[in-house]
Amino acid sequence: MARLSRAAKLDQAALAAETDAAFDELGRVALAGVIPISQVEWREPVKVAGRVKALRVQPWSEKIQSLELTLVDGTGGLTVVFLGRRRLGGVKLGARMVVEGTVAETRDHLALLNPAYHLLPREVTLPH
Amino acid sequence: MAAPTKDLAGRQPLPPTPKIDIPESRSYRLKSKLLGKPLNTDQLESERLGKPTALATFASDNLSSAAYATEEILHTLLVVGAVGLVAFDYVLPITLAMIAVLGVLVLSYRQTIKAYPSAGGAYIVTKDNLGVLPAQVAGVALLIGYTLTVSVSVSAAASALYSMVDGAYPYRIPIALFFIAVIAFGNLRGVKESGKIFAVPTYTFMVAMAFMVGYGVIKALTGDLAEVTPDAEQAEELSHVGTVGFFLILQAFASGGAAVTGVEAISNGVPAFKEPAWKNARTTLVIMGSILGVMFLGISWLASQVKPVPVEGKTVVAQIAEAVYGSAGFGQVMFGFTLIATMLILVMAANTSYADFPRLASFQAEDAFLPRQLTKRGHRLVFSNGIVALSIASAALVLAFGADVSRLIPLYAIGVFTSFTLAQLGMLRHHVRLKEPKWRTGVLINGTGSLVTALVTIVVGITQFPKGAWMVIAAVPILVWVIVRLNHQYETEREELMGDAELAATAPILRRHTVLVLIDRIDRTAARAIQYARTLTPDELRAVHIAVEDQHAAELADQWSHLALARLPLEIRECPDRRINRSVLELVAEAAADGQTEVTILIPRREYRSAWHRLLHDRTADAIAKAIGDVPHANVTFVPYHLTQTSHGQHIHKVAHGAVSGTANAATRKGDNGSGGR
Repeated sequence: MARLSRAAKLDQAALAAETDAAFDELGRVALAGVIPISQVEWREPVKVAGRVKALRVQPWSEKIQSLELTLVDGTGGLTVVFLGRRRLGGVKLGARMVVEGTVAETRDHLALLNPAYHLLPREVTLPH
Repeated sequence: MAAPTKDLAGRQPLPPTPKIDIPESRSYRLKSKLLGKPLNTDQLESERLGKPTALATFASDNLSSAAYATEEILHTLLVVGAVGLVAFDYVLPITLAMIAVLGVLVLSYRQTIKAYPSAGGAYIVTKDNLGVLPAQVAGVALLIGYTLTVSVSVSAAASALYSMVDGAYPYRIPIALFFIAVIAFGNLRGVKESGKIFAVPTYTFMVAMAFMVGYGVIKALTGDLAEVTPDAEQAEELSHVGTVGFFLILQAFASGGAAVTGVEAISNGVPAFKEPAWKNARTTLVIMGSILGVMFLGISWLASQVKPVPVEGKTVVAQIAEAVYGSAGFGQVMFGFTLIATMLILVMAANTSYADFPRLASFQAEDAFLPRQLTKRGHRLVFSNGIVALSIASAALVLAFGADVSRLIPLYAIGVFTSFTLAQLGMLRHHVRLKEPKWRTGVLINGTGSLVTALVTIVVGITQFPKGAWMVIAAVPILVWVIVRLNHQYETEREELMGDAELAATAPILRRHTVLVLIDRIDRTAARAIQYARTLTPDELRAVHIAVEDQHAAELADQWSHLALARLPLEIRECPDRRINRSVLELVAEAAADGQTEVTILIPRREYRSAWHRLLHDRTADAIAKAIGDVPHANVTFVPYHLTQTSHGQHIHKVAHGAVSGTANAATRKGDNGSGGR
């Protein structure tokens, strides 16, 4: 009994280690080239990662709306706009994501318009 | 006269002021019913009093002291000192000494009246001559004195009542409190300083005392005046044999000091006299002093003849009256008349404090040494807050000391004599400083006055210290310290608020205006707030929801996106720790971060008519407003929505346009002084 349970424990530990490694790998791949949000500059192509702090639905007309969100890391925040979208699957408050695109602006704020995005699992440690 | 131009044709003049249909609150209606219709400020009038009415108005405090001063002297000698029969030999000399002090005070205050005909009183005189801090000492001492005047007077009035009505003694505290309540009510209603109300009790008392003393003297001369037959308790007190030591004499003298309280009343009210005000006031003061002197002397002389012993349940005046008039027929009537007159003048004396305390408190509050609220005139143009404060304080004293005059007296004289001394010193300084004609006489009079009053203060302080004066001696410095702190606070505030105010008002305004509407759910309160926000046409307008519950937030976002509300974006902000205040604070700080933006937070708020409703809902809106108040350039506007309740218990809503919301929107809080960050 005890042996078996020890073996099971070992298995679990191994699995956990494997999962961690997998997340690490995932993070390493997804987060490659990510810069702190504070270093974002207008008209530069950037890749940043952060947490969704606020979500905004900006209606332009009855049909057309855009989803805006504020993405924050430890250094600052950036507005991310998904034009024409009302919602994006998995994008909710507190979600972690990587976005990549060229910095534009919206209403006097720096913003990424329709960037490429990845959702990250909670377990991934953000670099900044 | 020109014909109306084309442009103006068809224009109407301004419409009459629309009637605003806001029902008065229940408490206000109750107040109006109790206190009478509210008075307009221009109804504030000051009656000018002739000498006889003025005497009645101002003398009640002073003259009423005669009702208990002799008793207190006897109480000290017989009960505290336990010297027995020999006490009655000392009553008259001590009374004479006190009358000498009274004489000095009258002479001194004649000077004050002349020097300060507009607004006299120890506080003003001290402030003018000795500086602000001594004035606060005088002010505090006087406020304590006025409070004690009420407590002592109503307690003494209660004692007059229970001397007359058998079996009333156990109810003396409720009786005394009842007197306070009646006086407070009358003053809140605004009993005018109308001499007629005062004249009756004051003159009745004078007549009663004159009659009693006169009749007593005649009886004594004819040898008819019998001594009081002592009951067991009194015999017990008389059976002591003791020697009267110097300290005991001083103690008795200090107890008698209560007799001269109220002398300052006339100097406080000189403007109320008919012209020439100061001359009339001086004459009245002398008349008042003489009458008090004669009455006090007469009562003390009678006391030394009939030898009454102060006991519970029957005052000395009552015993004297009984001895003088006897208990048969006519005597019974005169006995009742004397005691009723005594009771009435004592109530009137308490009433005097209700004129003086609120006024002095308002002076001090105007100098920023007491809370500002005390300067406000209330519903009926009286200083309501001062009246309420005085009532509470004096009622507390009555309760604490069991409406026992003998226990209150040791506290009484010290405060009054402290303010006398300061006022006299102030006058001395006044003469030396200004050197007006005949200033040397003034120096002599007020010099003597300050010396005598200072001596009495010291005597009272020492002899009465263990019996209760220590409370006042301890309280005065503490209270002065408190009000000096208070003043410091007010001054600091004033400095910050007034500093470069003009510059701040003309400074360039911030470039941007962001309006954030806090939304909890889409309902009528939110709709009202959004409608209002849209009239503001700011640079940026957002609805914000602080997401405490993800599910609720998601539903709201969904609902919102279907509404497509006038291109108004809804922002859902995370609030993982459920501290809404904090999240809003962060939101505001973010919006104002560039230093170029005025941020307005609109908070829809349900207004409840009844306390019951208020209880049912938390005060999140107020808490948020309070938190934001600290951020520079952050402003909070409540957008009210009135919930009303019909008699059937149904909620009906008011259509939210119109006068109601228009006025209530003014409830805007400003979070900054406009001069940038701090």
